[in-house]
Amino acid sequence: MSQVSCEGLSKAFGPTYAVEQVSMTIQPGEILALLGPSGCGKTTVLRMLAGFEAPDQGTIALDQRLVARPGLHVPPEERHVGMVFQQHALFPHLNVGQNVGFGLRGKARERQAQVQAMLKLVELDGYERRMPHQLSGGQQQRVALARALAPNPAVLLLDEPFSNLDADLRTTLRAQVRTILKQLGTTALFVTHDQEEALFMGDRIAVMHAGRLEQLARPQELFLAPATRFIAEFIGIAAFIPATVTPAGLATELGTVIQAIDAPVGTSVDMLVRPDDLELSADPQGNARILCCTFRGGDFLYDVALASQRTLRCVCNHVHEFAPDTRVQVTLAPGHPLAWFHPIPQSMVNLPK
Amino acid sequence: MLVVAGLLLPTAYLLIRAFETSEAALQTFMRPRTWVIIGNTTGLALAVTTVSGLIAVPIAWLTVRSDLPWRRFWAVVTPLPLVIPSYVGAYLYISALGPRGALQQLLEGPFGITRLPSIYGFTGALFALTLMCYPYMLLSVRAALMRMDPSLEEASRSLGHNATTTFWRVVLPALRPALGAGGLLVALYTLRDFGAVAIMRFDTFTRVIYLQYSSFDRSQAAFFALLLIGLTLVLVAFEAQTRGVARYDQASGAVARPPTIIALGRWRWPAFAFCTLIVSLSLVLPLTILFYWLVRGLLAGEQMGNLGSAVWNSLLASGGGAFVTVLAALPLAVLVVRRPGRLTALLERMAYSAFALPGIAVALALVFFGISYARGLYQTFAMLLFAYAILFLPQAFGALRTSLLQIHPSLEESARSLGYRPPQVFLRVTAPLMRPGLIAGASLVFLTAMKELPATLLLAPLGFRSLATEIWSAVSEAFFARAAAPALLIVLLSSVPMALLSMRERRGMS
Repeated sequence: MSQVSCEGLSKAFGPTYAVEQVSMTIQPGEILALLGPSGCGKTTVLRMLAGFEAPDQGTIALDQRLVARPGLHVPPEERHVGMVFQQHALFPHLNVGQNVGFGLRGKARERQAQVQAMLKLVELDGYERRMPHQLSGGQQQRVALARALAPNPAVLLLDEPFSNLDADLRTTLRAQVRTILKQLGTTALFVTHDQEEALFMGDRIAVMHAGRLEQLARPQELFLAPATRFIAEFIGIAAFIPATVTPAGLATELGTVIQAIDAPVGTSVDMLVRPDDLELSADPQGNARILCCTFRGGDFLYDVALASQRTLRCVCNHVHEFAPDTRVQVTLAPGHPLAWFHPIPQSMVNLPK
Repeated sequence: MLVVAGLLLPTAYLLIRAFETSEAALQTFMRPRTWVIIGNTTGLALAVTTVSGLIAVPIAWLTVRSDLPWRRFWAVVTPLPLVIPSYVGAYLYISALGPRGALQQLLEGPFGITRLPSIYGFTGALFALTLMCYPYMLLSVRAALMRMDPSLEEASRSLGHNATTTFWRVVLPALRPALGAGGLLVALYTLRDFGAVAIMRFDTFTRVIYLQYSSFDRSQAAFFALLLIGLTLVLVAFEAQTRGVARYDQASGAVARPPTIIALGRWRWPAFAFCTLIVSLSLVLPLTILFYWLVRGLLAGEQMGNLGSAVWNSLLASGGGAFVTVLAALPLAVLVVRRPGRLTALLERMAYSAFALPGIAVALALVFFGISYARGLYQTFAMLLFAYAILFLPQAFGALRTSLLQIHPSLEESARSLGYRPPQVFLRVTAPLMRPGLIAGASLVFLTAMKELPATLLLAPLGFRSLATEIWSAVSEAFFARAAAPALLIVLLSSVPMALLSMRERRGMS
């Protein structure tokens, strides 16, 4: 169990920054999910921690031991960092047992025992003589995990390890991997672009966007109190409605939400509204109209149009069904303070990204 | 079927011929001389393959993975010796380093040196063949290095192995299929090669067969030709066997990441010197010598008059050969690709097995066949084309097969559903779409046939002179200057597919 921390990490490829000023600490035994859209720099962070890339600025410490700073680059083989790759990267010329034992030193007997223990851990005992190409995708990834864990690494890095597998397998495998990591108490960094996977795997989640770390928090906190507009939109379904700060709280076209606001009275803000913050009831004089409806099994997801022609999405349990064009009353009933952001200046709205 | 029967004909006929006098054959087999030849042949093949590997692996790694100075330049230049046919290469080395050669003439004036260490024999054959053959291994190892998933090496590094250990334990084993395939090409080339060993006067099978054929000891020649075919088949089988065990599939759909570049540090300039040495020996030296003889020949008023008819004959024979070979390969390719099954898989293997047939063996078989059964065909142009078709079928077949595989059967099916009969579908849909493959196959055969020596020597009609036979006869009589002009033409013609190949490789990289 080790602690990993990095401070002010930056890396540029050519003129653009892939990673800019990223600082974070992974606590001993913690699984940190590093989440972000593709190209946000998350894999570059991981590769710098592993030692495959050298940062341009900033430091990396494993258990208080500096492994990277300007002028110092400890090579990957001396960092004691385990890695699980997206493509499994099993050595095609070695069998399962030889793959798992590849990073082990010491007496043949002890190595053999450790290989057996690892294969048992990933439930592949009896497979040590198979060649990698004789295994299914899920089995290959489990071998890759066993191989990375065998030398007892200080920290395990996982680079989108399930993205090559089909959906069913992904769900079972991630549960299995999480159980194993928790059982061993391994410190791990898990890179993914799939928010559901991040919510499932991560004790905490770090969200990256355009090379920067936007927020590092527990999953609930990300959802309820996103630090930036990007995170609000990236995680879960989000809509924004304009609101004005009043002494009581936030005044909107759906009424006033009572909550303390750290902004001067009269300020215009955008308030984050998620589908489950709203309630719908049938009302011929209601303030909104049903546009369309998606049945999701456990509930309905409605698109509704407000008087201002703004569209919102709301969730209703599966008992109530409203036909399109039905008049409804939309009420704000969050049960928790709502997040708000300063509006984007009009001049910025239509700029190409 | 007819095509396959044609393929089998030479081997079958050699068998008949050799065992007509089975007692004598057995005696031949027991003679120590036979064993010397077997030893020479396998020894040379082994040595050429090994030395080629020792040259090819470092160059491949340096040009793909390191910060070697002028990396791009070396990547383009190092495979180029492929354009020099072995007999041209051997002739140039002999005429540079052999008796009465350029080096001796240079040294004779100021130093009075009249004898150099002999280049003939094993050393010369090894030298010439290695420098002409190593590009086969270089190209296959380079391709494998570029395809290799970089995360394999990263996995090894993260498991605590440094760059050197990683190279030996991960990179080299992962290159094994490529080394095997490239090595097979080199070894086969060496086994089949006639020109270089004949010019270097080293007694391997091909040279002995030719000498015996010339001295009319034909059943012994047939016996040796069979032994040679046996040897090449053993080699092919051995390679298939080892590859069968270690048939690795790389992770499919792997995200292609460019290979990481490793800094050489203080090894940068020694590596540079190594590349310079290899390229000087394999490319600069032969080409310089070629121009030296060309200029000397022109100054001495060498006759260029014969060259016109030799060029015409070469074009005619190679063009005819290309046409016949593609025609023979076409039904085979269609059958193998569109009707996969056990029988067609066998056909496919047979088509490729022709690759193991040495030119001299095929030629010899056809000579016998012509004399005994088809006197009318013996020493005719048709017989020569038949030999070309047998020898170059694998090349044409490969090109056609690839282009057919790229045409989705649904295209043909939709034409059928629109009311066309199979032959019309073939003419109106399949054939136009296959055109690149047809052109590629035909040009490949054309250029290879242009360089072919032993079959042309044995089977061509009396008085038929092509560029290749022109070089051969000039070199046999040590008229080095007279061989220069046809040699230059052949090298230029061979450069065409090479240019296409390197263009494709570069496109693959970008």
